[in-house]
Amino acid sequence: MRKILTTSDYQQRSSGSLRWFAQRVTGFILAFVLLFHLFLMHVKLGDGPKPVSVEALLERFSTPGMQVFYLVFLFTAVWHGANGMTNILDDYLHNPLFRWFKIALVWLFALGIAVAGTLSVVGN
Amino acid sequence: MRILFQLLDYRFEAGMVAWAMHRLTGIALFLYLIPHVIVTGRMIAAAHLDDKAEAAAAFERIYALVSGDFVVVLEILLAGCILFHAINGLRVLLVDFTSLVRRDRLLTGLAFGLWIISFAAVAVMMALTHWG
Repeated sequence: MRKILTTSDYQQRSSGSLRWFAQRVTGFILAFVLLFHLFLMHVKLGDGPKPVSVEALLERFSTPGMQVFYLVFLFTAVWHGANGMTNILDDYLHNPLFRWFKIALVWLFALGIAVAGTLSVVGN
Repeated sequence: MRILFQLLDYRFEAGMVAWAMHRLTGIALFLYLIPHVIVTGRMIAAAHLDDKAEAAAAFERIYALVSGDFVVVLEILLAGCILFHAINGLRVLLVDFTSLVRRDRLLTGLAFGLWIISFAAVAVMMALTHWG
């Protein structure tokens, strides 16, 4: 006979409310950080170099404030994205093994982006 | 065919369409992160080459790859995804955390309106920058 699930069966696992809240906080941060990123990349300031050019890149990624900004941007975006993908997969995949495999794949991609991005920002 | 009829039978509501589009644009943006970090990473590495002439040449080679017509079309679509995900995301925040939840229908309409106007403006600006 099928087991009747009670509230306590669900409460054994974390409810995910912290992840829910963190998704909103990171989303709020990203709205402004991304706006600043787009401004940096598309608006030429005064008689400075073109925003996407050798000179601009060299200057940007040797300025500590910019490096910190880009690391914050990178990790917030990667976590927000991977967590969102996890939520979507959770909704559509029900086979436990397949679901576990796909979610592990998402976080593996996230780790790859985070490592590659960090190396680009501080590794040159 | 059955799916088509089911879709036609479905009573679409703006909030549900916004939810579906938030998911689709979210997936697109996550997938975009992968090539974006790789390509810009190669550009930063190229800029840091010791030989100045070599650095400029390597930078231009990668820059040429991502400034063609097709890529610009994709970038305009990307801007649409970003704008929708950001505007609708801010609407979700208002609905989740403030009493504006009672005005959700209005907010959803506003979000769609704001998105269409801003997307049109940004798309025209990007197209003029590239082709104008």
